[in-house]
Amino acid sequence: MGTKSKGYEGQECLQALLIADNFNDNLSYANNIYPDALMPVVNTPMLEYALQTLCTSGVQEVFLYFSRQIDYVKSCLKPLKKQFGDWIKITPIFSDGCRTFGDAMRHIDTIGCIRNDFILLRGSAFTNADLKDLMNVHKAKKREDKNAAMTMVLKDFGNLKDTTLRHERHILYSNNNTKQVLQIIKHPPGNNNFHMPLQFFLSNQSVTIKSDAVDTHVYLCSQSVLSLFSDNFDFQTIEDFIRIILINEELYNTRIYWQPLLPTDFALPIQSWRAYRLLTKFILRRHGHPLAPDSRPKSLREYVFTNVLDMSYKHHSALLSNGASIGKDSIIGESSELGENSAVNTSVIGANCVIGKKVSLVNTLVFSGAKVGDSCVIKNSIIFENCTISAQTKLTNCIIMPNVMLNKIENYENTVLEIALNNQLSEKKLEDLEIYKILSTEISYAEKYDDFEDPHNDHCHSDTSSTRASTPTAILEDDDENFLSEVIESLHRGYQDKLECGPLIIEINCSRFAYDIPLNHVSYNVMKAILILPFLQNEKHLPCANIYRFYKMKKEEIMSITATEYFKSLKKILTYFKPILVNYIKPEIGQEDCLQAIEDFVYSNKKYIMPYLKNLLHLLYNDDVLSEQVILDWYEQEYKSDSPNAENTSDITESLEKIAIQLRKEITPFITWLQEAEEDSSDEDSS
Amino acid sequence: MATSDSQLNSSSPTNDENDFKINKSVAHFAKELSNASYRSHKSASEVVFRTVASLKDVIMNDQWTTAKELIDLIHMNGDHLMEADPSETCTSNMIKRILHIIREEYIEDLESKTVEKDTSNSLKKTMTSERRTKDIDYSKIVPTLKTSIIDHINEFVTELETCKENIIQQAKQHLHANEIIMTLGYSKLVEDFLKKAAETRTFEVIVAAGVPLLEGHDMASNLSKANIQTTLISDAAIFAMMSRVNKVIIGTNAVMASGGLRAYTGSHTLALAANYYSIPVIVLVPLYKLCPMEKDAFEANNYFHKVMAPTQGIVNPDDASLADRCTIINPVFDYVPPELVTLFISDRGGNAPSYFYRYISELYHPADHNLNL
Repeated sequence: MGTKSKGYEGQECLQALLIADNFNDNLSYANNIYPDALMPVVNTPMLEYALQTLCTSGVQEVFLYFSRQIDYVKSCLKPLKKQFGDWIKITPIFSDGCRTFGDAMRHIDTIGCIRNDFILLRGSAFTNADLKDLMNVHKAKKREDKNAAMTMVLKDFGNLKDTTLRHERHILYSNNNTKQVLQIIKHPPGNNNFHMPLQFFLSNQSVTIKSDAVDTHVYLCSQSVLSLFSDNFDFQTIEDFIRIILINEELYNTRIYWQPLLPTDFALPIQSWRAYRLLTKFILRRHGHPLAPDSRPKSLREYVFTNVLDMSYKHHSALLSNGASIGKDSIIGESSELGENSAVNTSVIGANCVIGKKVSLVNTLVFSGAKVGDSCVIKNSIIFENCTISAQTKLTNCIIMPNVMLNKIENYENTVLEIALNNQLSEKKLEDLEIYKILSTEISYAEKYDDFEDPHNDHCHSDTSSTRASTPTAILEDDDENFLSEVIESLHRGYQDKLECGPLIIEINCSRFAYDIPLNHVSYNVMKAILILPFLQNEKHLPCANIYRFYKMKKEEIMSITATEYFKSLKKILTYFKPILVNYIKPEIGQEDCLQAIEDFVYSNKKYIMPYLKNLLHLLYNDDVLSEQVILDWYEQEYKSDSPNAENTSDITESLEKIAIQLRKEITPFITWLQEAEEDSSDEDSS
Repeated sequence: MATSDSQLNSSSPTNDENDFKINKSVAHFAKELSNASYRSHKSASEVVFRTVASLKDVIMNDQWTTAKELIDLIHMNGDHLMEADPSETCTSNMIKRILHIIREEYIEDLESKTVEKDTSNSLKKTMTSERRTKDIDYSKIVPTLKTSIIDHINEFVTELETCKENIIQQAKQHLHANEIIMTLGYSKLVEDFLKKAAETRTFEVIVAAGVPLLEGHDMASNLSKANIQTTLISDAAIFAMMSRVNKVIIGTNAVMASGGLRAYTGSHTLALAANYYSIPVIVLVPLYKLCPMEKDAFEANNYFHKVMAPTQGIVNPDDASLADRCTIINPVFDYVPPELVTLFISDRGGNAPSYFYRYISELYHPADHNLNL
């Protein structure tokens, strides 16, 4: 079976990648029980919804990436393969060691199974949209912009201020015409202050700001996304990826776009228990049609309405005894029994559950195999698989972990019950905030917690950038020094091992982000690093940490070479690293920084560089790194004291001015030659 | 792959279903049928033609020796097709029609030498033949079976091809000059029917828009393009406008065995209003939409209701707070009881609803009626 020929009618094969785990603990307590993609919502694992959508969208091949609870996953996969195998080619990939989203993507890249643009889904994604149509939008974007890496799919729910969805929204800044994403940040309730960089408005003709966008966890990706993950090992999550790509758009030369879902299509990722409950409600209320009970996927097909007006359903094999009532937004799973005069409201009951007589269940999730005794009253709780709850128990705001047996008549409130290692029942109190986040839908909690919930998560993007900007200069200089060391290290190694310049540029970029260095400092430091390199030529074993400091300390020792030798090796190095120089120094500002670096270097290492300074400038001029205008401008300038990171050590300070004058004297012949050359060329132009 | 399958099948007639392979053209059609964008644009007649064509491919190209095997094959492939779009009744109707053809041809071929053929299908014969066919053994090998089935299916396809034209041709008998006709939503058949009548007569059409999909807008614009005087009204105005109307003409999604309709939402309102003013309700129905199941059986199998998302026409999708707080129901189909329908116009002429049981017994085999396809 050739995989290429699988696409029928000669269409190219549309591939999807589903990363089953979310690598977070948003669904606390359930995280250790189900892999995220197999989390049942309305008694159907998320994966089944996703596969159904992929099938109806005409996706031909899907890779499922699992990294946790492999054995459990394998047992679940078989029926799914049987159900969907005729429609779509399913290839599971198992990796037990993978701990982050980024690792997963890098693993996929090494496997090399993705051959084209692909649909990336997270295990938490739920949508009924036609992904093929969306993919076509991405392909159209790619025709306009070859470097479009990704199109995010966002759902616009309108104003979410007073709805339960308010926790899931994002603020999106985008270019109005191209739909290019400029920034996307979480927009939690209670936080209404947002900082907007002026740059957005300066560089874009018109900017759209959406305050109620919900990320669907569906991303339409170009193949380059995988290689971007591979090149940047510090991309841990997809949020990292998006944020860093957006900040350094020019550097990666790649862009992210967004696309709204059609108004009639529905999507809601389960990134929290709140979203989980909401999704349950929306599925029961058929917002996800055709993903709805009695329609699709197959495990939901068997359900029937018990009451259309209440949107309540039961599996056709479920048993309702006399007087049992299923209230609003509820569903009873396969082969479950509901005893006499029991009432179920806004609850989901899984398969093979036995609910006794006169039981009241309100706003409760009961997973499969649970047994609830007569006359229990359960409110706002979650009961996981195979629990047994004896008669007359009262539970409010409780989480019952799998296989717990409650034999005594007891009332629990705000408690987590689980079986500890010694097979004893352990109790843990739930905090108010947790109750609000996981169990309750009551508004009273909302008022209490909305204002200061998750301060850590919410502001992290904006905060980090602002603290960076306002940190004292001392730290910045330290960062600069560390950065310089890393650049020297990279270049030294690159030169010794004869590496290509492309990877070195990427390496320098990585260091740049690690220390948050502005672009002009980069060109300054790169030039400086190159000027230092000849001194390190003979040192085979360099210390790993902070080479620059090492260089400063051992200065006298290392500098045992003559000026001629120095310039000889400098010339070689410059020729070798020409692509790097062109990359960083080509723009006019970069050239100024480069000259500044040379000037600063002269101050501290007069005897080596002064005699050959004009040769050096000539070389850079000939290599098109420096333009004559910039050199002339620089020459005209007086000595500047506010140069970035100048080595203002005391012994040099007094003579600096002297050196500056000497320096300019030294290169006068070159400048004269330049000016003459210019006159010549302008003469030629005029004649 | 095909050869290995055939060997398996011929060696063991009591083959497990899993050993069969889904036919290629069935799989291809199912894939398209399941595709969301295709489903929203298709027409019922297209689905019917393609279902029959793909099942014909099964009969012609798949390996089978006895009628029993073939019936199993059709069951399995039919299941696969129904999986693609379970709410589509035409597919299941066609599968049952094909099964009927197979059974009929088998019996005919088997008895052709002994029994004199009686083409008239009297009530008595239907009743007695039912008992007779109940315990027929389909596992005898009949060499001529394949050709006779294919011949019969070809005939059937011709019938399908002409059925629409047959209905349209009756337009002149039912529409008279200066009448006012009311219709609901969009139906290609109703549109063509009215256009045909408009060739010789002048009359007026009132189109009810048909919430939630508002397909009546297309209908109104198409009719007015054909120079028919058209008025578009909202569904809420149906009763108010009914007193001036001479006839109600609608299409339907399916007709139950009882003559009840599974028709677009609002049809029940329309039929009740017409009943109140004693205005005839005419339903155009090609016979492939005739479904041998009763409404109850339908409901038990869950295919009667089709409740769509509230955002598909009822509420503004941007109104999250509304969707968050209240229940919104958006059913696609109405059940219209047979007593509200005056006349069906099918490709075999006009019939009262009470006549439909005859068609059911003629077109379908009793063993297939309540197949859970």
